[in-house]
Order: sequence, then structure tokens, then C-alpha cells
Amino acid sequence: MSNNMNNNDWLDALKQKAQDATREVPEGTWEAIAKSVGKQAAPVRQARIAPRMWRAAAAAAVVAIVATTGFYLFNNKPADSGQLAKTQDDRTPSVVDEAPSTSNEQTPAVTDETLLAQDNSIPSQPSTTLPPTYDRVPRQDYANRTNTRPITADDDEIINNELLAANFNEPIDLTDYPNEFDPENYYYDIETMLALEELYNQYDNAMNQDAMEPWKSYTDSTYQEYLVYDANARKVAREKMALTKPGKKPTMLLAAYGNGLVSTDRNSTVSGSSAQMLLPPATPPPGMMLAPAAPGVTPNVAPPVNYDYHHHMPLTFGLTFNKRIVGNLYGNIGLNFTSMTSDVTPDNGGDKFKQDIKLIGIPFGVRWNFWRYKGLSTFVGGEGMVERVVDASFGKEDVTIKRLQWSVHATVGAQYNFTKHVGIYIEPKLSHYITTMPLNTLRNEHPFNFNLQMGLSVDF
Amino acid sequence: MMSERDISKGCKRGNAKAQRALFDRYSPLLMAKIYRYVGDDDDAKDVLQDTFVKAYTMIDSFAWEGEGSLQAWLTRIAVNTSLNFLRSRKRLSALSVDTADIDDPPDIAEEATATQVNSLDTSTILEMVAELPDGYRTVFNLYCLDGYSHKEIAQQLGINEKSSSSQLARAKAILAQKIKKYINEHNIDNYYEQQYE
Repeated sequence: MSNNMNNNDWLDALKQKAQDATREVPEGTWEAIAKSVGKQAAPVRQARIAPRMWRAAAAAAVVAIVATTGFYLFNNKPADSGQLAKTQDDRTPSVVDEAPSTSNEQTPAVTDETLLAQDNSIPSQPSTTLPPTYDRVPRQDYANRTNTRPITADDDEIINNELLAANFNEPIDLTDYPNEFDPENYYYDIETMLALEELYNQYDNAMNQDAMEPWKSYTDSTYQEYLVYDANARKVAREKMALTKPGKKPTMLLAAYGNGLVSTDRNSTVSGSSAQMLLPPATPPPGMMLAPAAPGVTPNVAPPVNYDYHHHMPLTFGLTFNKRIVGNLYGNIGLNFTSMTSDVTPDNGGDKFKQDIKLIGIPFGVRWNFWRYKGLSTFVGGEGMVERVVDASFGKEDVTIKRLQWSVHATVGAQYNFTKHVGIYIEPKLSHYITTMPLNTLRNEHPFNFNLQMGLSVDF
Repeated sequence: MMSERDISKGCKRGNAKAQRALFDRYSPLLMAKIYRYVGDDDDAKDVLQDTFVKAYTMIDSFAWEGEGSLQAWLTRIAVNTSLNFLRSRKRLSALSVDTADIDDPPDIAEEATATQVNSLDTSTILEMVAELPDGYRTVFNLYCLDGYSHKEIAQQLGINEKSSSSQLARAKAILAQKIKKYINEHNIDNYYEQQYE
């Protein structure tokens, strides 16, 4: 018994000593820990001020980077579209209204040798002869079409570029025409070149997402060349043309949508025009890029159909999962379902119909909690999202859209956790939709916008 | 000086000052405890780092229940991290066969006394514990110094309770031997007794 008492005593003494024991911590331990948790290994005295400054600076940097990128993209693409569309607007009526000449009379081209000389890529050449105008022969059944939807071109192998035709009242000036056809050596007057460049850019913007070359040349047996684009390119162009002729310049939009959130945005109207299917002239004269009218052929060009769009509020439902990466930095990924509906009214008297687009999206990004109190936390974050259209219709026509829609978002938000893993959040979000849809949507109209999102968050 | 509660609240908010305060206050204590378990300073440093990284990232799961609760929470993390470290090094896998390599424990009459233990400085005691074989050291730390039961030890280490009890007896015997030997070699016993005469 005595031995047992002694036994317990020495163990108790040993326990007391061991429990109170301290041991020197090797140098560099704190720095290694701080590095592991993603923190500045700042001394205590500096920690009072520095972390807040760093957080604020980092938060501002995240927002600034995304916003700058968004503005850069916003200020380029939409501006180009607007400018080009204006050109189209200005010129279209004169083309439509103009009675095409049936003679081969040629008039001098408008040239600007000074401007041409400044551009090394466009050699200055004296203009020679020009056709007075060109002819466009409509597809046989086009005039009788009453469909209110844009024209589909699935069965058209080669068609004239209606947009090109609409933009050129004056015939294209071809000078120094080589013996053998070589489109690279054609020289045009400066006005044509500038318009052509704008036009090409417009198509390039519209189609670069599909890596599709809109321009194709068609040369007949007399080496007559027509600028054409093929059926697939035209189909995209048809859709794009409804987008690139805006009624209003895109502005900042306060819209609200999100995971289960129902809210409103302002209505907007965008006019668009569809391409028209035209055939090459029957007897084009030599030396013309676009042929003058064939004798005896009466032009019959239907005016382009314009559409007014009334976009309904997009609805998005989604679920987001957040996973702590290190410290207060979280990675997040989710799954979104978005429905976008628009009322479309053609201006040719056709019935109003609906455009309906449904998308599945995967958002992914990072979120940094910079303040936390009990269950409430605030955060900044950057996010990307890729979406794919799972169903789309334009009236009765089903539309297949294979291109992915990419977008970037900068967020500042707050979250309140009911439990350890589940909470609700609200986040004002600055969004930019990088890629556009071939159908006109609110996102196409306002690729850069500010919105509000609410939802359920699962942290794990 | 921040209170334990303020430290825990600050750490939950990700406050750098609180995180540093947590480290400054508890790292020497945890370093000693971890050293007792892993038996090596370099390994103890690594385990200490892991302990604090876990603590910072899991601080949301900590619920303050009065003074001392944060230290107790950190201690549990440190002990579990130490055991995981030993498992990862497979030092505990041979726990059950370690007994075969050790001589029978000395007679109980040869055990140390509280006076002898008190005559030693803390670092010496820590080093003596650290020098025990891995399995014995682990059971001794868990049972004698950190208050685990044999049932809990058996669950933690995947051994049966009898084995835990047996290894504890051997660990105590070895430690008593070490203490006596150290005191004899350094003539501490006489010095200590002289102080109380």
C-alpha cells in the first residue's frame, strides 16, 4: 500500500511537472505556419493595421481588375457593333428604295489618293471605270414568304451577301484588273475600303466565336467574282444581324436575378434585320466584283424584317458549394439553370411570338472572407462561368446553339450561416458576358451589367 | 494582453493579431507536450506547425466554454496530430511487439519517489519521457500525463486494454529506473535531502 502511495505520488509529481512544462519553439515556426495558412507573418504590433490595409487593397484590386477587364471588353465590342450598325442603317433605305440600273454605264469612283497613300496596305491606284450599280435578283420564292421568323438558310448553298449589298450604294471600284482572277490584287476606293473593313469587322465579331470564315468568293465561268457566304455562315449571320443593329447603346443595367431570386429589369427594344437570300445576277459583266444588273431583270428586293424584343426577367436557380482552400480563401463551384424569355414582334405585321432560351451553367471561382462576426461574414470574389444552351426556340423554330457562353463576375457580398455548413448569401455582382448568343437576349444587349444575386450556400 | 476568449473570437474572424497571440501563448506549452509524444525536437516542430495550421483552419468548430477551454482544445489537436504523426511513421504499428524487446520491468520497490521527481528540472523529465520506446512513451503520455483511460488508449492505438495496461507498467518501471540512475549519477538525491534537513 505504501509502495502504491509512493507510486502515485511520484507519478503525480511527474504529471504536474510535465503539464506545466514548456519548451523553446524553434525559430521560423511561426513564419512557416503563417505561410501555410496564407497569412502575413507580421509581428503583433504591425498586425494591428497591416491586415486591414492589405485586405482593403486586395479587395480593391480584385474588383478593379475584373471591372477594368469588363470595361475594356465592353467598350470595344458594343462600340464597334453600334458604329457598324449605324452605317448599315444609313445606307439600307437607299439601297432598298433605289431602282437598279439596267445598263452597263460606268461612272468614276470616288477616290482619296492621300488617304490611300497613307495606308501601305492599300496601294493607291487610279480608278478607271465603274458600273453604275449592281443588281440583286431575289430568290424566286422570297417575295412570297410570310414567315415572321428570320430566314433559315439551311438549303441555300450560295447566296449573295445582302449586308454587303446594303452597304454599297456605289458599285465597287475594281482597278488594274489582272488577267487572272486574284482577289488579293483588287483595289477599291477609300470609302469602299473603309466600309468593307467595317463590314468585315462586323462579321468577324459576329462569327469569330464559331471560327467561321464568313467570306467566300464565287467565280463564274467568265471569272466574274461575287462576294458570298455559304449557308452555315449565313445562318449565323442571320442570327447575328438581329443582334448587331441596336436600338440603344448598351448601358449599365441594374437587373436582378439569381438563385431563386425574382426581380425585375427594365424593358428594352432592339431592332434587328434578317439577311435576305439573293441569287447572283444572270449575266454579269466582266470586271465586276458585284455584278451590275442584267438587262431585263427586274429587281424585287424585299425589305429586311425588323424585330422588336421585349426581354423578360432572366431567372436563375442554382446551388453553390464553397470549399475552404486556405485561411479565409474559399473556392466555389456550382450548377446553375437559367431561363431567358423574350417577346418578339416583327415589324412586317406578323404575329408576336416568343423566344425561349434555357441554359445550364457551371460557375467557378474564389471568394475571400475579409470580415466575420458570429454567423455573418463578408467577402469579395471573382468568378467565371461557362454556360451551354440546352434548349432554345425562336417562335416555332427550334434553334440549335452549340457555342458556350463565357462570363466573368466580380462580387462583393455577405453571408449568414444558419448552421455550420448552410447559409444564405446576397452578393451584388458586376458581370460581363464575354461571348454572345446567336439569338438576341438581355445579355447580348447588356453584356456588361450590375446585378444582385441571392442564394443558398453550402460550405464544406 | 488578450484574454483566451478574445483570442478565440479574433481567430474566428481571421484576425492576424489574435492568430499570433494564440501562437505566442500556447506554442511553448504545446511544443513540450508534442515533444513528449514524438521524442524528437525536429519532429516536434513539424507536428507543432501542423497543430496550429489545423487550429487556425478549424477554429470555427471551437466553442468557448470558459477559461481553459481553448487550451484544452489545442491540446487535443496536438495529441491527435502527434499520434497521427507516429502512425504515419509507422512507429505505433509495432506497439504490440515492442514488449518482446524489453526486459521485464524492475521490481516495484525500485520505483521513484515524488521527492526524486521534484529534484529534477522539467527539461530533464521531458527528455526522459521522450527517450522511452515509442509504444511505451505513447501509453505513458496518454494515461499518466494526459488522463486517458486504458479503454480510450486501446481505441486510439488499436490495441487491447490489457496490452495498454501492461505497457504502462513497463513504461513506469523504465522511467523510474532512469530517474534513479540520473539522480545517482548526479548526486542530486543527497543535495536535495540536504536542503530539507
